[in-house]
Amino acid sequence: MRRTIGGNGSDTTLATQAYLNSTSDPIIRDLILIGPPENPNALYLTNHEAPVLYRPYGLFQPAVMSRGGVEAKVGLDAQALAVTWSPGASAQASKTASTSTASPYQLAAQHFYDNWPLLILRAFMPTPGDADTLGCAEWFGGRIQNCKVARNKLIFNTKSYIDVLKQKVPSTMVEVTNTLASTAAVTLPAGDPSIPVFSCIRPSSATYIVADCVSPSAGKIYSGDLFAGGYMVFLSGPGATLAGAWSAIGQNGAWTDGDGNTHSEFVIYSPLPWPPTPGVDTFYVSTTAPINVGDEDYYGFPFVPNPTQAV
Amino acid sequence: MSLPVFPTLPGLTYTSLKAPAFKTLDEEGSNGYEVRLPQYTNPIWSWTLLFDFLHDFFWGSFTAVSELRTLMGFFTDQFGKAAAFLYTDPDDNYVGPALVAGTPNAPLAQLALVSDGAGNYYSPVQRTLDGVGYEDVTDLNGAIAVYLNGTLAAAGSGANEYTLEGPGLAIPGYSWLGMVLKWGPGAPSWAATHAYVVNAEIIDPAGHIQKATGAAWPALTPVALGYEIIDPAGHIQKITTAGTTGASIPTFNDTGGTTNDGTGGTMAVWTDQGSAGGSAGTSGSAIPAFNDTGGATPDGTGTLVWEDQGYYAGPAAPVTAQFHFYFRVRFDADSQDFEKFAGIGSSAGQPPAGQGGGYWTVGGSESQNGTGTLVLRTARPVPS
Repeated sequence: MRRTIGGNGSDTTLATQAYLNSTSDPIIRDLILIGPPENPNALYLTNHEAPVLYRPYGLFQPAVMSRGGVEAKVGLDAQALAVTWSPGASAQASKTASTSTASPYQLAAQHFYDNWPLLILRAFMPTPGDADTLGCAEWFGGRIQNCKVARNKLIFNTKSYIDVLKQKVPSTMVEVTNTLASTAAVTLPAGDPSIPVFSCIRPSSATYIVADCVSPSAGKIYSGDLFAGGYMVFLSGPGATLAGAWSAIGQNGAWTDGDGNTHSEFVIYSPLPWPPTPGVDTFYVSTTAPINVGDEDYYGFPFVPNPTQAV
Repeated sequence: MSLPVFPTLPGLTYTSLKAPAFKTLDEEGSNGYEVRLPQYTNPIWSWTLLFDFLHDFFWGSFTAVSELRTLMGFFTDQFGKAAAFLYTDPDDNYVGPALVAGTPNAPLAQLALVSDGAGNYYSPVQRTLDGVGYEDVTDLNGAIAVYLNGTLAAAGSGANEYTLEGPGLAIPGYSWLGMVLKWGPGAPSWAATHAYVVNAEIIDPAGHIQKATGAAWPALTPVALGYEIIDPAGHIQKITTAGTTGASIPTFNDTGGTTNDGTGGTMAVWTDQGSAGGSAGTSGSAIPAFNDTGGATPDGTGTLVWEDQGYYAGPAAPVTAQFHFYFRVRFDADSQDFEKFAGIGSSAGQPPAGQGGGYWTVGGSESQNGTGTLVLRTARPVPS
């Protein structure tokens, strides 16, 4: 299930799961935050009958509101969601030149809410109104595409944040394997201050590369298969024959020549168009990107919920 | 903004319907198992009222408004079902008494007492039908009398006093849509250069209650010039010759004279400063660092010493209250039938032409053509 955070900031996922397992009539409410929390015009709304305090964000006031639904999907399909709100007391404000005192209708008509973030939290209440003990799970996050002013209500049409991943981007967009962007978005080996760069030597071929580390530590031999699953990208430079060519790395290790000198060797998955020129072609390498919680420097989602178990 | 009150009219008759309603989202599996999601916990009440008769003629004066016009006018004043107003249910408008034979009437007049975890205490104004479940009260009709374990509490922001807030309040772990009593601190805060009587209490910055006492005589203790205590007779004794006190308390001179304490060259001398008059002493100019582990804290240069009484655990429970209340309601329809069933004119002279007369009903026994009944429905407080 989704992760729930209690009012004191603790992870209450297990307690929430136990609560849901123990009852067939759980009290679940929506808390909707429209706008940046630090903005005094941000709207804190709930469909609970009384005000709800969720300390990580603040006090949500009861409001006349409804929302559409979203589907749990894997992929980049951006979810669209409409939230409808009929302002009550706050709608009484008269037209004014100050955003701090303007009514929501006036602000919406002036496109004040366009592109504002919209966050929907699901509060699990062991007792009515208690959003502190078990807290909330983030249920939907997105940006308001437009806010439609209708009779006695505002309709916030929202697209999920994942929408940003579907945009067409220029070729210089930073991507891990976009060699045309000339951008090295690599995953560094642990402890290295900069991207490892190697210079090819004999007897490199189109699928087997022997090279010496140039930087950050000249001649450094990395541990075996440290770069397995990563990739190498050939650099431009005087005489370079393979600039922009790249391949995933299958194995790496140490190779000793006939003089007893140790060099680095790489076995790559995709054959290069031709063997690199020893002493001329250089390339940089990346270790594999962290994709699991246990991987070092992993900053992504802890896990993707199983759709059949997600709340 | 105060809301109008539904008029009380003599024609209200039986039978009247009263119905609590809730809303629940229901998902049922093919195996009969269900998950039901309650959408609110305070009921939406509805009342279906019948008026057997509504007079529409003047009672001896042409300035009084007839019953019919009072009710019909009230309906139009609210723009039909648009505006909220207050309704006194004739059979359900009072919580109390707070005390029965001098003891708290719990649970029928009891209010919850909860903390926000930061030393503040609240009591939601609620009523109970069965002593088990509680319903938030949004509107009081008159004053509320609140008792802390049988002792009447005053309104205010001082120690063990309450302020009435709402409707609508949320604290960590709790929320209410009705009125809420916020309790003041258990005692006043510390004040600089203030004379405290013996046993006066304050609440220190850490939320502990500190009780004022006078400094007592210390045994076998070096005492400096000017050091003061309060002797067993309530007199202030001041060191006029520094030294070390003896092993047992001396018999103090309480007539303005001196008292020797200890022996030999380290003997101290106390001089009577007169009666303390019940005062424990005067606080200093800066707040002391209070001992919150059950110990004592000297304060100022005189005799005042604070004794830790422990963390303030809130007002004395149970909290009981007595009050009258309204239900906040709206008309349930934009249209309302009023039916005239008798054309009797004025009982005291003729009304001016064109200003009514006769008897009317709303769903009463004489009704033949009207759809009858006047329905009121709970209105929540104004939403955000």
